[in-house]
Amino acid sequence: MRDAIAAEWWKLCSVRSTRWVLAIVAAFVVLLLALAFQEAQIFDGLAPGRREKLALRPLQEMSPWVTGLCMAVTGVLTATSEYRSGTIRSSLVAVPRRSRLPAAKAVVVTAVSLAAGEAATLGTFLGSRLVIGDRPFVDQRAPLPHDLPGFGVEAVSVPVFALLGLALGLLLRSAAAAITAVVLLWHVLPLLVFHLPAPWNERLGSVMLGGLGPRAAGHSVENSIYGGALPPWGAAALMLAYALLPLVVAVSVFARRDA
Amino acid sequence: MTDAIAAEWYKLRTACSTAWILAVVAAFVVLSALSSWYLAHYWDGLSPRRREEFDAPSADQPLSVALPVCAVVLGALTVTSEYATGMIGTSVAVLPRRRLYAAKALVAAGVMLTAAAAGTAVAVLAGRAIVGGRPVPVLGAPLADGVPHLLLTGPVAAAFTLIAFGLGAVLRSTAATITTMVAQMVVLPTLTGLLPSPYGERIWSALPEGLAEQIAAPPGVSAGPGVLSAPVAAAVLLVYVAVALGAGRLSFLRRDA
Repeated sequence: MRDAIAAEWWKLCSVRSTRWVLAIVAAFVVLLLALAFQEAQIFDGLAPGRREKLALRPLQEMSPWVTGLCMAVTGVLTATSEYRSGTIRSSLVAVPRRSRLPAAKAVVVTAVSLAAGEAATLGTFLGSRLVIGDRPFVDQRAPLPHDLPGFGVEAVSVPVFALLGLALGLLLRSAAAAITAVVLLWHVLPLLVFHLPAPWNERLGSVMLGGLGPRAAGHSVENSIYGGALPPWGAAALMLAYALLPLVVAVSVFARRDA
Repeated sequence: MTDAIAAEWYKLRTACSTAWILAVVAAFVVLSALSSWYLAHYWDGLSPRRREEFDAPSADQPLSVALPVCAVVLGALTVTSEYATGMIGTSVAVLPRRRLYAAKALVAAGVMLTAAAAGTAVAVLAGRAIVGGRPVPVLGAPLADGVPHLLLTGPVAAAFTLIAFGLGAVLRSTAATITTMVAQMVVLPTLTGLLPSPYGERIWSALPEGLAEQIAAPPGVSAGPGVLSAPVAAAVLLVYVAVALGAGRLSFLRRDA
C-alpha cells in the first residue's frame, strides 16, 4: 500500500494540471485579500451606523467554496487522465489488487486537498484579519483563537469535494462528464433547490454539500442559498457520507469493470 | 465548405457526449414541466392572502440554470476532444485549418441554438398548459410577454458555446476549458457582490452571465443589478464571442496541432 501511495503521489506531483490548480487557488486567495483591503477602505469611509452592516465573512467563506471546485477538478483528473492516456492499464498491472489503486488515489487526493483547503481558508481568514488591522468589523470582533477552529472545520468541505470528484471520475471515466457532474452538484442543484417554494427550499437546501461546511462549523447560512436545518454534527455526518458513499460505490464498480 | 460542415456535423452527431448533453437538456425540460406542475398545485393550496405575495419563477427556470453549462461543455468538447484523441492531426490534414475552424464553430453553435430554443419553447408551453387558467404570477402570464426572452435563449446559448469553443481552441484541454468557463460564469459574478457600489454592479453588468437578462429578462423576473441597456448588452456579448473566436482562431491557425 505504501508503494501504491508513493506512486500516486508521484503521478499527482508530476502532472501540469495539479500545479495549475494550486496556482489558481493561490491567486484567488491573493485576489480575496485585495478585496478585503478594498472593504477596509470602505469601512473607513462609512458612518458608524452603517459600519454595523458591513460584514467580512462572506468574503472569507468564498475561499473554501472556490477551493472546493478546484480540488474537485483535481480529484476528477486523478482518475480520468489515466483513462485518457491509457496509463490505467500499466497502473493496474503494477497494482493488481483492484481496490488498492483507488484507495491509494483517495489517500493522496485527501491529503493534498485537505492541505490546500486549510491553507487557502485559514490563509484568507488570517490574511484578511491582518489586512483590516484593528478595524472593528461587526463579524470580526472575536479573538483569533475563537474563530480559527470554525474556519478549520469549514475547510474540510474541500477534501469532501475532491473525493466526490475522484468517485465521479472513476465512475464516468471522462473528464468532461465528471467535471460537469461536479459543477451540477456544486452550483446548479443548490440554485434549483433555492428556487423551490417554502418549506422545501430550506429542507433540501440544508443537505446541499456547499452549505455543509459552514453549517458543520456552526456558522450561519442565513444570507446564502443554503438552508440551516441541520445541527453542526448532522452537517458533519452528512459531509462524511458525501465523501465516502460515492467513493465506495465507485471502488466497487471499478473492481468489477474492465479497464 | 459544405463538405466541411457535413463532416463536422457527422462527428458531432456520432459523439457519445453530444447525445448526453442533449439528454441533459431534455431532462431539464422535463424537470421544468415538473416544477410548473408542483407550483400550480402549491398555488391551489394557498390562502387568498398568501396568493397575493406568492412569487413563482418563470416556467423554464430549471432549464435556464442548466443551459449555460450544457452550452459550454458542447462548445469545449467540439474542439478539445479532437486534441485528446489525436483526431485533430487527421482533420487538419484533410481540410484547410480556416475552414475546419469555421465549420466546427458553425455546427456547434447551430446545434446548441436549436436545442436551447426548442427546449425553452417546450418548457414554457408545457408550463402554460399545466398552469391552465390559474392566475399564478409569471407562470400564468400571457405567452406574448415572454416572446423576447424565448427568442433570446437560443442565441445566448449559442454565444456561450462559441466562447467556450474559442477558449477550447486556445487551451486545448477539456478540463481546463470547462473549469475556466464555469468559474467565469459562477465565481466572478459572486465576487462582484463583494465590491462597493457602483463598481460591483458595473462589473457584474459587463460579465457574460448577466448579459442575457439585460437584453431581455424572463417575464416577471425582478430587475437584477444590471445597468446596461439592451442594445449595449447585446453588443458586449458579441464582443465576448468575437474576442474568444478570434483568440481561438489565431491559436488554431498558428500553433502546431
